[in-house]
Amino acid sequence: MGKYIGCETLITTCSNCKKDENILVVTDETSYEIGMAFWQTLKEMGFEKRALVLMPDNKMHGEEPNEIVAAAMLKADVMFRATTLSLSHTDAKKLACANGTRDLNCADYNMRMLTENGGLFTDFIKNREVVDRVAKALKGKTITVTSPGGTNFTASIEGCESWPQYGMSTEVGQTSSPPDIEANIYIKRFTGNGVLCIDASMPHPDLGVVTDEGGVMIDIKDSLATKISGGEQAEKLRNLLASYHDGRVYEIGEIGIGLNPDGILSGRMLEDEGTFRTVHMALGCGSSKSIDKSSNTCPFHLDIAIAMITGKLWFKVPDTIRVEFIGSMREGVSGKDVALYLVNRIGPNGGSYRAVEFGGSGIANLPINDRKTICNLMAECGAKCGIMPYDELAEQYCVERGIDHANPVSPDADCVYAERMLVDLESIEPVIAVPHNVHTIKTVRELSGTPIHMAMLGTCTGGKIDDFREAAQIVQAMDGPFKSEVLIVPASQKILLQMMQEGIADLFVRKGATLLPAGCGSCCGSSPGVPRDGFNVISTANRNFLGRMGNVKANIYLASPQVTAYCAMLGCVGDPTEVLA
Amino acid sequence: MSYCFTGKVFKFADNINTDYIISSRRKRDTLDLNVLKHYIMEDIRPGFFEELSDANVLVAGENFGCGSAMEVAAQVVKANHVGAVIAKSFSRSYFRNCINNGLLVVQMNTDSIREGDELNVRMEDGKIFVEDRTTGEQFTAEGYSPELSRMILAGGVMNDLDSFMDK
Repeated sequence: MGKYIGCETLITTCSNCKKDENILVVTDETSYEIGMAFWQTLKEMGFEKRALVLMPDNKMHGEEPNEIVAAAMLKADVMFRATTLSLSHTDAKKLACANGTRDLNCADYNMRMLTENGGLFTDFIKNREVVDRVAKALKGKTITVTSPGGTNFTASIEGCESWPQYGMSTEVGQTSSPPDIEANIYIKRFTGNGVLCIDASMPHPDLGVVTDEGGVMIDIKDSLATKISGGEQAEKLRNLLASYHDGRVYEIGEIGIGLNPDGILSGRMLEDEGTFRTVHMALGCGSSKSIDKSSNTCPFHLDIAIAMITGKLWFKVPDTIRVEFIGSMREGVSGKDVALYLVNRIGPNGGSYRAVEFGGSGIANLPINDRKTICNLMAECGAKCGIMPYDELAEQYCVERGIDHANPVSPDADCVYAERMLVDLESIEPVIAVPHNVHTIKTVRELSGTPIHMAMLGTCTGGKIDDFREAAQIVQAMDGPFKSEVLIVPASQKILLQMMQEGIADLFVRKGATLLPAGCGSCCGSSPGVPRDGFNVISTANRNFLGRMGNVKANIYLASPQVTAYCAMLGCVGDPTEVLA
Repeated sequence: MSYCFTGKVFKFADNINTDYIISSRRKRDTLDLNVLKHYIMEDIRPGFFEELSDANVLVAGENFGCGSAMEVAAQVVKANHVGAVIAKSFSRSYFRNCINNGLLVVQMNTDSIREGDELNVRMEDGKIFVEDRTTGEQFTAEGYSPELSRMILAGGVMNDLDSFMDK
């Protein structure tokens, strides 16, 4: 027996490596010692077709390795991923497995695990039978988990499938994470209720083995963590989850029963998860398999399916139109006015199969919200996308959302443009797209007095929190109720919550508006709010084609949130600068 | 591998958006193409479904399929036995959706093609040939890369992916 007993087990029992197979070890600077342990062991055991690939340290789990590493993975019959952070959820790994590579995740290992004791020193073959039995038993209507520490949690598992994980990759394309040996099941979404007492480990660099007195207590209602209490670690966990700004991280999706009798709780992810006499729960459904498996929330579009299966997408590379902004927008003018102006100037087909790139000194004066609206509308002139530069404002926006590793791109010095245009933001005034095209616009002044029967504030284009703040500013400044029928459609649940917290939802509803479900809907007539025959509708949406809102006998006008709100208060078209002045 | 189709021309104007091809409101009730196909072009050409036979070619001007990227707008055309859509230009998302769903899209000047003409469309080794059998006029259109012609011939990207997975 050599020095690295753990490596020997992984090379033999766990992966069944053969002498004529291509065997790859992937490691990084921090885990280099672990990578070399695999190298030494493979060498001593006489595996000639071995290769060790050293990659730079990643910053987070799931970050793609570079192309050289990915290419090596693809060619390997067996790969040991001795990296610090996990590559399990990368396309490179998935593609390699799809191509037949037997994959062993060895992330976050330490020397003790390979040389002294713990989960890798177990009898993987013998454990298999227990895993099968437990996985088979994991079925029924409900699952209840209790523990001496105070866990008392119940969830529905009706119709859910359990998964045995042996910590072995002996079959073509198989993936495993030894020494994690477990039987797990994805619970039915939103059915989990009770209390969890986390008193073993939270395998994350900032957390680790639980030291909080009495453990970290998590109250769960409808599968969502509603309260996290305890000591210092509980606070760290709370902050960590909050930093994602995504409600899905609070969802409990998976329950796993650790079945490795030799595992030691040490704060090492793969060992802790599989340790016998522990049960682990996965917080953060967004990154777990339950989203894919339940398919009720996963937006499944063909392009995504292609990317998931092949790791590639096909594109026709577009030419680029360069738009140079100078100056800044006047009071009462917003990104929507700039966007409609541009769609009119470029034309419905002028951007066909082109990208629209923005730049110039005026960008610095454009808030992020307006930049989003402008990019959103570029599809209406046929463009593939709109691209704004990554400046200080964009960086600040990313940092506030916990994105500190943005990978900005900027135009090459010698790039060639299909067309260039200059836009003085100062010269743009409030405009409205008139029925039944986005590119046919008139100024608000030209349309002044046109009766408006219905107004829609919201959708993807005009349903962002800043859009509602701008609309609310107008509504607040005026007396009386809305004179038009008003529909409110927040772009997301998160925005709806923000509107409620800021009193904006309350303001609109008190003035007579109807709050509709967040997301896609009445803009395309697939939700309540279909206008009556002969109605003039003003909307912050992106499209006004004949019949778009579900009735061919209605006329749809498109405008900014300010203009739309003002028209709804007046019952006819008017210029909001009148109130803002 | 090659593709050959002959059908009767139905001609449309510029800027036909996907809501005109199939109204978004119809998606509220069903995504069943056997139901949705009845409503093709209903808002701009009522009764169009009744006019179609079992071999049709749609011909249009600029920017066909603009607006929403909804996939049913490509699927509903294919479900109505349309063997090719020919236009001066296509919106980028409609173009993608057609190829992903195995519907042949052909970009060329369509000015001389008339409503009711009999049109033959062929794709051979990625090259596209169109013949107006009523007027005798012949056209060559921009072809496709081997990857894209494979997707079109497979009947869409999902079928193509099945063969990728089998490898």
